[in-house]
Amino acid sequence: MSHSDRYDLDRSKRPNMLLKFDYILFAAVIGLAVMGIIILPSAMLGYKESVIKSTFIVQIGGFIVGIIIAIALSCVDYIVFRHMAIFFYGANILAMLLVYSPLGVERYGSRNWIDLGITTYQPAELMKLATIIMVALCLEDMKLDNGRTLYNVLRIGFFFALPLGLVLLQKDLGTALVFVFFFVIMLFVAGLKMRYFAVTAVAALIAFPFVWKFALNDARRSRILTFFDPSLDPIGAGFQARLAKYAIGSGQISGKGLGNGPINNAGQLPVKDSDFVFSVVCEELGFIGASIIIFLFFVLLIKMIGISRRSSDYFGQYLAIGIFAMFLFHFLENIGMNIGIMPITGVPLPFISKGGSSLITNFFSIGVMLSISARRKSGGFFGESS
Amino acid sequence: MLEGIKKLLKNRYFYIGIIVAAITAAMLLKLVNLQIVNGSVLDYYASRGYYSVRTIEAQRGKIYDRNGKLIAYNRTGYNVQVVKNSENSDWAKRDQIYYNLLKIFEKNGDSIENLLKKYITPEIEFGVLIDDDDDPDEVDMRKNWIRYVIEDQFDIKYEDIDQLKTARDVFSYFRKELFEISEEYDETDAYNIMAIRFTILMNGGISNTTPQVIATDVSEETMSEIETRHLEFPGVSTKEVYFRQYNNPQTIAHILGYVRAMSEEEYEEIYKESGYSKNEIVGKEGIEKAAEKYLRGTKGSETIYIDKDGRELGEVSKTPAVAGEDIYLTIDLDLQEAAIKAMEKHIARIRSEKDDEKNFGDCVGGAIVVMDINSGDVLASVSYPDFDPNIFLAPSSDAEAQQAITDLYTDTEKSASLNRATQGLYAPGSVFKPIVAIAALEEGKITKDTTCYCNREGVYANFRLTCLGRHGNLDLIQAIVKSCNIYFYDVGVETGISVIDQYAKAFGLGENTGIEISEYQGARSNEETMRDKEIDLTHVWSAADTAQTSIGQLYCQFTPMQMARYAAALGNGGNLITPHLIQKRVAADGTVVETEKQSSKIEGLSEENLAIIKEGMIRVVGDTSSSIYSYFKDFGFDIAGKTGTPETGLESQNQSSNGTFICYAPADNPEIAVSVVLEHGVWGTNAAILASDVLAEYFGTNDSEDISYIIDYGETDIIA
Repeated sequence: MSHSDRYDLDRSKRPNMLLKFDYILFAAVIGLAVMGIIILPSAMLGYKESVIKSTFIVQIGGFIVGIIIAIALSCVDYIVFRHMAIFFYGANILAMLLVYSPLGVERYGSRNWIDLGITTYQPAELMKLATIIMVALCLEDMKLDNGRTLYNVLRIGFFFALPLGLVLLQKDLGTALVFVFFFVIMLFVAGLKMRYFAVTAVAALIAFPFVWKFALNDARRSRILTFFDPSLDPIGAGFQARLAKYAIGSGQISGKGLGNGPINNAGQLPVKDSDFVFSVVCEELGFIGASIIIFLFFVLLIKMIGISRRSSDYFGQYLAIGIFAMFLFHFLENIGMNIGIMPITGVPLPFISKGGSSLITNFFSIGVMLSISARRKSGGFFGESS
Repeated sequence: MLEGIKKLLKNRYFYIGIIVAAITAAMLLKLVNLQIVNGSVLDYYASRGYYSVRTIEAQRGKIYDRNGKLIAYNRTGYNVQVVKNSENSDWAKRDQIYYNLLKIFEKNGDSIENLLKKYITPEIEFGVLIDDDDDPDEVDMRKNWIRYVIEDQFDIKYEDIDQLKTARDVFSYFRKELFEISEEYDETDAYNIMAIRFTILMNGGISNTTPQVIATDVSEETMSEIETRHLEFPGVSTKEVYFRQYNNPQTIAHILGYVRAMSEEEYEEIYKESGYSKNEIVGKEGIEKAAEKYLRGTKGSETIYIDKDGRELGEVSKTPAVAGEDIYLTIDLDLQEAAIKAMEKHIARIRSEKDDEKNFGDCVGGAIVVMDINSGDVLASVSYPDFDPNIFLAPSSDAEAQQAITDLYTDTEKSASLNRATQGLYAPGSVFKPIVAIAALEEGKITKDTTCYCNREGVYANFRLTCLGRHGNLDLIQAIVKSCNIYFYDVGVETGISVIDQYAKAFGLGENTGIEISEYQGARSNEETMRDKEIDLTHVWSAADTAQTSIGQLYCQFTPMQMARYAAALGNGGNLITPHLIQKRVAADGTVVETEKQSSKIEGLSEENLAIIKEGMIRVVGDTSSSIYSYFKDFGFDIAGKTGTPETGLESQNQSSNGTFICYAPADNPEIAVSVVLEHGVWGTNAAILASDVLAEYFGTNDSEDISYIIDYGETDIIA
């Protein structure tokens, strides 16, 4: 049985990209990235001028390169990723191991960066996408290959657990949670019986004390504890949370104006170019600016659900929902911790936070999304599903 | 319709859509709450200020002598510190502030904290940590240092570093590229600004919450000027802090020790766990170190309301710090001072008696220990040469003090940093003989009346060993009094090394004494030690080795503290006491904790045999024929002592032998035990004469005129 038998999509014909291109999704992404560039100088207020200048150039560069990558990928059939999956995955695993080589760099108490000379790169960024592709592939096989359930379960388990283990070894709690989150959503959409989720939830509860003790470093533990009881660490994480609250509140409806936020100006917000960039948005662009970002994410996420639903094949369906879940988690966790409804862990806000390499990685995922979208079945949001 | 809803509920995408919608709604609601409902209140807080929690330093415990004389205490002083805030948020503004501060410091003679000068000096030359020669290793080290400094400053290219050759290159590069210090400042000011910023950078960088110290212990004038002109110095404040002070610490230097900022390694390995913060001042040596956990106290904390400029608006809550416990030493400062004066006096005397036969005028130092014979209270513990612990309290800008510290650790001739009383290891010489006598008596090898014939020399395992005199026929008491080697060679060989070793151990020789401060264990002369020390691996323990051990030579290495403890056990009926320096601790709330006295009875010692030794030792000091008789005759009671003149093995290289002496006094109902070691003191009698001065001070028999013997050492070259 060849692969092509499984698909109802006629892959010999290229879709008409002008007609099939997902303009709304793309517009939402461009909108977010533009918001990011608008807020970036404010987010770097107080930095050295040369640093601001070079970061700004990197960000604009990442933006342009990202758009090109996204459009180019939308024209490529995402089946390529199915064929290349194991290589892509393997290469990323290797990159993950490189942090232990002399190229590895330690930042913010976690050793999870590698130094590429011109820039530093966090291998976990693309690892997420590689794992999503691998899990999507396995789930599709499982769906089509009814006889080999055990083999497929073990395969999924392995391909998922390996990168997760590496991330946990690097004590990168934020990224580990992204992995778990997209995995659960993918299994959910793939139709895993609800009782399995229940069993897993119980297992997770049992595993929790061990993760707490061995997989988390002191900084993470205190951040989580402080979320539940801010008085535990009044000058550390609790202090950050309170300052973020002041910054957000002080923006009121229309904000203080770019570069005029008092908390931002006092240099009080930690990692305000990445983790706490949303607080800067709220302070300087107010409720209006903040809700524009939330709205754009809402559009982006709902569009992604639609793309998954209307995907021509299982692979596309699972791949799309995996990417969706990844963005959803970043959206929820980053904005959530800024506004105080989630504990503080260091995850960036996609397209808004500073960082050329993460911008490009995000655009890469959007390109894959656009490719799936262009090869979708026709039909409404809650229409017929396969 | 119903079908449609049923189908929808079965569609898992429906739930995911619901989740996204719910999350979005929750976020918007929370934002409405924060920005619209509570917006104006939070805006008020944001623009007005916020809470900050700061720690309050605890005052370090004071240290007194046994009579309540103050030795170590704290004075208050001021540090200048800086935080980042809205009015000094950019570099250029802070540089201007630093410049203005520097002018104030300059005017009042204050200096900044400067970590840069070890790398680049104010003269723009490489400092002590960097050599500027072309040795490839040095070049690499220099490059690595520069890389380290600019780490994470990603706009700097590593290739640039290769171009930096001279200190001026590095300085200019840092000034232009790393610190971006304006061209307006002249070089001196630019250097000082860079030094401040470099120091802050190395200490973790400028922060909004943790103040960074720019200058420590500034003058009162500087403090008041900064406070009155505070509007010109946003983010800058002065903080009242404690500084350790010592009263005449030199006499008690080795016991007191000193305090100093901990090193990075010490922080990571020792102090981090106990809740210290980096760079904190801790006890480094002596009691300051040994009693660190009692002295440090408990830090307090205060929550303060600060405005957006970092200025305090008011105190919200406060947990006061608890001062550390005060320590009362067992040391009697008067006795300690008298002992050290006597040490200086006799060293000068011995040097002046140079004859180039036995005395080569090379007596440099020694140790005296005076111990309460029953409690183990160390009443005096002298190690000479000494040093001034105040050099460790001086600011890092005090070049003279820094040089003195370097000298202290590099002058191996004087080894003044060594506490000779607990860390000095010496062969005891004849002071060891009572051990051999006790071992032989207890084991029944000899009686008081056993005699031996001394013909000045004897042969043991083909080794010809000598005595200092031809003593003829003598019994045990006479052998002790005359310190006849032949008698103890014979008795020692007869008794055997293992028995001697067993008794030496029982008297605590070559064993840790258990005193609070750092001590060395030393070693007893036995086969085990021989294997560690003997170069000739084929050497087998022989009768000659036992014979030499019996007169306290060969591998014997004991501390003066061990010898005093041994003397005490001889005098107190065979109780081995644990010497201690801390008499009691007094907590801030008045609770007193007395140090528990510890002692253990040495097994198998009979009163009669101790009495025989005592008789011998009384006669060592008190026989009218004794060369030290005149020094001890006026006490009005007997004193039991034993001298020793251990050879250092360097006599042929024109170095004098050491002098040792132990005693307890009064011989009946003794109060104290004393041990004295004089390095290159020529004869044990010299150590005994020194001890007589110490005893005179203790028993108050030295009349005031006697004080006049203190020579003015200004003209005497005591130390070679």
